[in-house]
Amino acid sequence: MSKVRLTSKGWTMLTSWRRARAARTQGISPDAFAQLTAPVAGRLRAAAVLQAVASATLLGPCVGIWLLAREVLAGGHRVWPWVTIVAASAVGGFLLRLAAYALSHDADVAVARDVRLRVAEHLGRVPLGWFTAGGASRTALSALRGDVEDLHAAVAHGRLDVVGAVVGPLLAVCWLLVVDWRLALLLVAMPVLSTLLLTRALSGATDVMRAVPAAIAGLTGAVARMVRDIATLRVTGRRADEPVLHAVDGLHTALERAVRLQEVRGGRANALVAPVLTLTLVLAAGTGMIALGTLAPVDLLPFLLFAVSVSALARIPETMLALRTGHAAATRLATLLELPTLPVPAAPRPTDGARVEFRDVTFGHHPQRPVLHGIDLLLEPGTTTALVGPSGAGKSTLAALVGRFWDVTSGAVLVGGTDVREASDLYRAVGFVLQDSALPRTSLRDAIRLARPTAPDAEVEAAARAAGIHDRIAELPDGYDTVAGEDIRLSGGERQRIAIARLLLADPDVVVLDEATAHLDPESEAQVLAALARLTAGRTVLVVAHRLATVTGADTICVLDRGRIVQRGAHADLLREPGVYRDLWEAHEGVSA
Amino acid sequence: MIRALLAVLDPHTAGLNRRQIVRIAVYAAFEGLAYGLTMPLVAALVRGEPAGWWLLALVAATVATMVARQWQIGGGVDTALATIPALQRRLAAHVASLPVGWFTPARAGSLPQTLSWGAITTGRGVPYSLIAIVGGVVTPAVVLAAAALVDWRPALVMLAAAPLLHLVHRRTTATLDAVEARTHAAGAEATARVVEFADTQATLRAAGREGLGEALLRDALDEQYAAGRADVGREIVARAGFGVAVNLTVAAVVAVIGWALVRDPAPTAVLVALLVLTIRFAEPIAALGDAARGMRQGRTAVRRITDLLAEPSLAEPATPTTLPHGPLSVALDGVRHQVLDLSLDVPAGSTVALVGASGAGKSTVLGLLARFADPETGTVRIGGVDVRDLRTTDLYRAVGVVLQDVVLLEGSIRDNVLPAGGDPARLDEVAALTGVDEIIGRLGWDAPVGDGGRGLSGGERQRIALARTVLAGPRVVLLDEATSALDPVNERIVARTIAAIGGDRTLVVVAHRLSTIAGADRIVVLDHGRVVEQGGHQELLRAGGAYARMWSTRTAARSLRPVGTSGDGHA
Repeated sequence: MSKVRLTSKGWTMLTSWRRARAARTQGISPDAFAQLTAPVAGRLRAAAVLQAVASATLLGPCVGIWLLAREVLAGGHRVWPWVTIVAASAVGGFLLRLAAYALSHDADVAVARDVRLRVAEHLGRVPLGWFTAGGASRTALSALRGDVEDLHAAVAHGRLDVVGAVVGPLLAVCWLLVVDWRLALLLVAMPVLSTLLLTRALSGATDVMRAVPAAIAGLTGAVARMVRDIATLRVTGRRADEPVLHAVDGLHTALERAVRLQEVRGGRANALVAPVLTLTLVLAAGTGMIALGTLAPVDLLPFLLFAVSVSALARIPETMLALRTGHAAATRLATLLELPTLPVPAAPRPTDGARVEFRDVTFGHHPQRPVLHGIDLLLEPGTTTALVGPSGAGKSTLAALVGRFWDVTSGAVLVGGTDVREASDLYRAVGFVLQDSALPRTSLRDAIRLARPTAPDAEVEAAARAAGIHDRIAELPDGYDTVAGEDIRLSGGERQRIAIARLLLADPDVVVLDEATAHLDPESEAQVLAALARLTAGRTVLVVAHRLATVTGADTICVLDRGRIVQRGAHADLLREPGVYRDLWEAHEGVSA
Repeated sequence: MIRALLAVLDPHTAGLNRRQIVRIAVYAAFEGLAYGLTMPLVAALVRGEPAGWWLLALVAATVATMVARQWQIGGGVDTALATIPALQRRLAAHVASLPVGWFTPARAGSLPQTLSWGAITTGRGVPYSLIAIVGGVVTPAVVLAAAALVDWRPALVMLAAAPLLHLVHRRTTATLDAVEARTHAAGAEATARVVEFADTQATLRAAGREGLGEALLRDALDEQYAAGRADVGREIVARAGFGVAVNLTVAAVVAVIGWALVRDPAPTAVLVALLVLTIRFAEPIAALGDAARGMRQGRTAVRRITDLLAEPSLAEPATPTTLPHGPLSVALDGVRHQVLDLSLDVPAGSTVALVGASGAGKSTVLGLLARFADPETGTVRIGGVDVRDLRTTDLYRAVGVVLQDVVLLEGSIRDNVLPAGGDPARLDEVAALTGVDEIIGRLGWDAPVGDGGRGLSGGERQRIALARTVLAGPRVVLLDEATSALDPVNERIVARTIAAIGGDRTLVVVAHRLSTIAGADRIVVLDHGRVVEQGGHQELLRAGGAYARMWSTRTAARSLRPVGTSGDGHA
């Protein structure tokens, strides 16, 4: 075992280095780890105890051999009891260690599920706006992958490895100290010296080590860019692999410096605990002491037997690293679990009707910097209201408040007479079609009947037909059983039509459309607009439009500018008076009109 | 794995790795020798005989071992540091020569990992993974040989046990691959579901708490839990089987030595020394199981690299044909490729617009003409010449391509517009035509376009690509109109440029804009990879077929207007 670690240590450290650094810079709270693993704390403790017992038991074979040797050297003939001790403690200790391993992995599997479930449950209560805002949410979620893995290292292996690296060697050292303290100290000195040397060797190496992950990232980036640009590079007759070769050189330089430093300095430290060297040093010292008559030959045997076990002390820092990495991951996961959530209503009430009302709504992500000011707006049942205005005017934010993506700073948003913060069935009443409809990776049938899992196939099909997507689905080899994202990739327009079918089936009273066709080509746009026409019929509709031409038919057009409603009325009326709307119309549509 | 690994390396690098294998073997042999020498030394000490010479021999062997160790480590570093970049260069050159059509998202997605970590893992294979195996096999074998000189019986036990251990290992780990694969898949799935749960949160929340969204996540987590538990269970059985077998073997060796001691007390001291050594090797041998697992993971990386290198690259013709002078025609002859099943003739100097629903095959046609892939059957001809008979440089000198999602290359705007050896005299004229002058007015010719030009809008990137094409002056232009840059200003510029490009150039456009479509000499309507209609705009409108239907839906549905509450609105 020790040999495997010796030679691969440098590389192991290369990969774990980045995480360890993250642990140092981001702060670690062992509390977070304890808290995340609380449900399995008992199992983990039991595993640690088992591992401690196992480590002690695994000294048994050496003890047995020593007893056997002492017996026969003294001229005795009782061999079998000692052989039995060797066999029993070897197998027994091994099985105990296995049991500890089984317990900790069992705990780990439970933690993996529990943590993901808790994260998901918590995310289910975070304001929807957090997800659509991008940036921070992306980073947090991408960290989730690595963090759950790091947690595995700490839960399943971390503490057990530490216990294993401490208990067995320490017990051995205690015994050896009793036998002969001079040789015992020599044995302990080696791993201690090795650890000190290694720490010193790597302490000044931060910059050199940091260059390696950076260079790897540089290479993956260069490859990703080459792949992305391959068509352009080919048709413009450039050498596609040039930047990649450059990055390969960069990585080579970084690796060279880091690995040489490690193998030269670190390799010397590792050599100190090489089993052959340890054994030879003990034998040399022992030979001398026997020659001087200060050591009985038979007392040399325990040192030879335990020499390599004691060297395992050098592994302590390495095992602590895994534990610390796990703690850092737990800390990051905990911050995800500490995201503020929307308050749960004390007395939830159902919505009643399709009227939507904004009452003196002011909202900002930071209360001091509102992006919407004193919005009063009434959406009568069955009418279509369009929000237009220059980009950054707050159109999407206003629309999002209907679905309680955020809670207002002051004022209130009411759906069917109920404040959205008290509504028990808000998402039954309000449906959304956003710029891009992400589909869960499931059968198209389930994607359509997401809100009504028991809906019969006939209704699913009717909704798909009305959304103009049935024919496309029917053409697929697996039809409605096709899994989007696995079997096929749907185009943006197709995903929008699936979303529309879902809403047709869910049948909300209020529909919010936020630039639902902004990313589509004209053919798809025509199809989606046709589907939307069916969806919006008879419902209260709030639509955010980037192209004024699509909303000329709305009952009311609200013009937003810098967070305030500056104009409202029908298209023809607004066009007649000077103002933001007419300017917008002339700027955008006038050209092609 | 080692053979497969050496196979993906160039001869020189493979040689370096072979030499490293020798270094490892030499080191292991010296180490075995040093261990072996502890036996006579310990025996002498125990018997109370002078042990000075044995000690000297041991120290010499240990020094040799440590020197060999440094030599081996240094060689390993050199080998890895030479192998990794050599392999990466080889892979990069190969990837750069693959057909553009090969780069599907699924394949392209894993390339950065394969070229970085895949190559690193492979480069480490011999110096860092093999050594663990050798440490668990060669060193014990040398010691075994030394032990046989003392007493052949324990050695015989070990020798007999070796194939037995191998068998136990094979049997117990046979299913581990599958179990591990299931665990990995389940783990990845569970994390993907959590991320998806967040990504689709708006949709899922709208579906309500009793909706399917949570069920998807819960199913994934339950599967992960079940797979994880099954894996732990299997792993325990596998490890228990091999571990118990190793430990029992060691116990058997100890028992045989003990039995020998009782029967014949003469060589007691040597046998005691052998006992001490026996226990030393229980762990490296038991650790072989883990080392073998590491090798298996390395094998996955090597296999991925082998597969990648086996992908056929676009072959340059052995006897290239040259293109005729003057305007070039473009043709697909009986082509079947993916969804496509069609023949198409574009006379030299004419403009053809390809229209049809998404998925009809428009971009695939363009891709074949640009030789991003070769058709499964049939022939693609430019100027009557099979594109497979053209040199790549000749092809792209004759054919200019403007893709739908234009990416700009690293460098300045000037670098992107002016082709290598292009004529800077026409730069301003072309910039004015393609509307690039407006961008230059804002940013200047030397403004760097970072990260594929993401700082610029889709329309601006497209204008730059158009300017590049106009300046390069190819005889055939393939243009995939952008779908996301449809502002009226851009639309006018594109129309203007297309008109200017025309004349004796041949133009094939995947068209979305009404102005482009109506202005083409011929409109080709595609549906499900087939040509369903072709002709002029008026002619097709009069025919009342697919084109006329498409045209009428597009002009009718330009505005969002709820249809009357006619029943089908509520499903």
